[in-house]
Amino acid sequence: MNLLEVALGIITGIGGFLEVGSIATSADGGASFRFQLIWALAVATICLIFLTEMSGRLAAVSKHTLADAVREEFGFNFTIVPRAMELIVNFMVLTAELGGVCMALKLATGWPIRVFAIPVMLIAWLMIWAGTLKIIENGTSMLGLVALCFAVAAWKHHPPLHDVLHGLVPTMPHHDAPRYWFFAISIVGATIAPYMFHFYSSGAIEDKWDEKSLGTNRFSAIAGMAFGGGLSVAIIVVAGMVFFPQNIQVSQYEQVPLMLFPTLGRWALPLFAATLGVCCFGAAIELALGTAYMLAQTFGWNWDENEKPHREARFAAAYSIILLLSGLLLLTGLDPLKLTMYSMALTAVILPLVVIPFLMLMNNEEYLREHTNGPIGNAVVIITIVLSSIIAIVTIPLQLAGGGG
Amino acid sequence: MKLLGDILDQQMLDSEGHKFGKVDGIVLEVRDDGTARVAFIEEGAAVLARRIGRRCERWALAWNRRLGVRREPRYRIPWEKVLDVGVDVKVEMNGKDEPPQDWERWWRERVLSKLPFA
Repeated sequence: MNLLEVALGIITGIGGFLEVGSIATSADGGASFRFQLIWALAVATICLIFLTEMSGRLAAVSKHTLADAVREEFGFNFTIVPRAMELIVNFMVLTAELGGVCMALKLATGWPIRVFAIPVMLIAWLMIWAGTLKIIENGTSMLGLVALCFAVAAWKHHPPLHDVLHGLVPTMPHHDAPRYWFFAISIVGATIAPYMFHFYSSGAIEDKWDEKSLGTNRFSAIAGMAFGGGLSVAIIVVAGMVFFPQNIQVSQYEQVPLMLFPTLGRWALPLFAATLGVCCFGAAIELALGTAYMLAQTFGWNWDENEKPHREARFAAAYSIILLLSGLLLLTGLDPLKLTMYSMALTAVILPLVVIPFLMLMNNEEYLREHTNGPIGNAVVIITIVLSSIIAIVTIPLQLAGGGG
Repeated sequence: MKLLGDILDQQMLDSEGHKFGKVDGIVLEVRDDGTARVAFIEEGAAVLARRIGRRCERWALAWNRRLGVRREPRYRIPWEKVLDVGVDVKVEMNGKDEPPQDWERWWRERVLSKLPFA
């Protein structure tokens, strides 16, 4: 098994999993409902493991990326709908991720977010423009290990194991039901992000995977996503141990590092800022690239992150423009935490449009030959996605009406 | 061969293996004896827009004229130039100077070449 190939899974795990969305939804969820929402994270992580494995398998067996195959199988008039929705959601989430990096810098320096918006956007752009996928992958994987500070904090709290395990069983909330369900689907939206499938299947094509890669694919999907999921559980546990007993709800990012103080002391702030900064930066790069892959594969442009930008001008233009627009949107001074929570919930709404055609492909022997999906994978994914979308459509208006976030 | 399944919406590659658009449309020619054959495959925003609707097509043509970057928004490739249909559709031509790459060239020469580290 090639360690470098596994790195593709781990970076998708860190960059795509632990990012502004999962940090915010997990911290807020743990503060409001203690360990009660761990089940939502567990379900979403299992679903994500299946979906990540599927995007690698699709690419390895059929030599098609997700966007290529969906257009080919369902035609342009269908494909334009999910891709347009993804473009809007990606733009919002990318802005939230860049906002997360700026928030990390704000925590470290005390300077406002607007000061950092454009420099952060430019550095992310330069990484993609001048770097290669391998450098980006390995760099983010290594630096992302700083996120282990959440696991250390959770460990040091000695949380009651029985209560944590009890959180794995879905239960009805005793209070604030609409908020509870809004959090549940925000956690699903933060965990299962469609851009990751474009990023992962394109990476598999760039790395020239074939049927021999299926074992590596399965291993890296499970390892990467379980790693990210485990760290998100750690955040829920720490927030549930520190914020919940004191009835503190997370209404600003500045509150989140406080939950590390009881265990990490003076290291709390720098470690939290580093984790937030690195993870959001990795996710922002994946998002910008994932969006460019998606557009290039929908319209047939040249795409290859390892090529020089001038060899694939439209691909490079796509990630440059979306980064620029996100940087400019940040300058308007919108609340990054609210933006994050609503972007995650909106992701949950559009998931069926992206995932259902994906599942149909995965059951099509013309693409997958003897490697089509089994019944368990199909069932887990379809139930999770459809239920999340319905709950999202019901709870987002309630949450908007209540003015929370 | 199933036309819609095997050709339409597939990736096109030129003689050098460069991606140059998708098969956005197919032009059929009906012979005197009533049989049909593929005369051309088509590429371009106007072709795609037409699949959505006539109004969308007019809109795409108008924008193409106004922007003035791409020479021919409905680009046709004779079927005789198609070499192979597999995962991709391989076409016998040098795609570099053809209209499907007009926007690629525009971004490269007008914008990207002026940025640092290009």
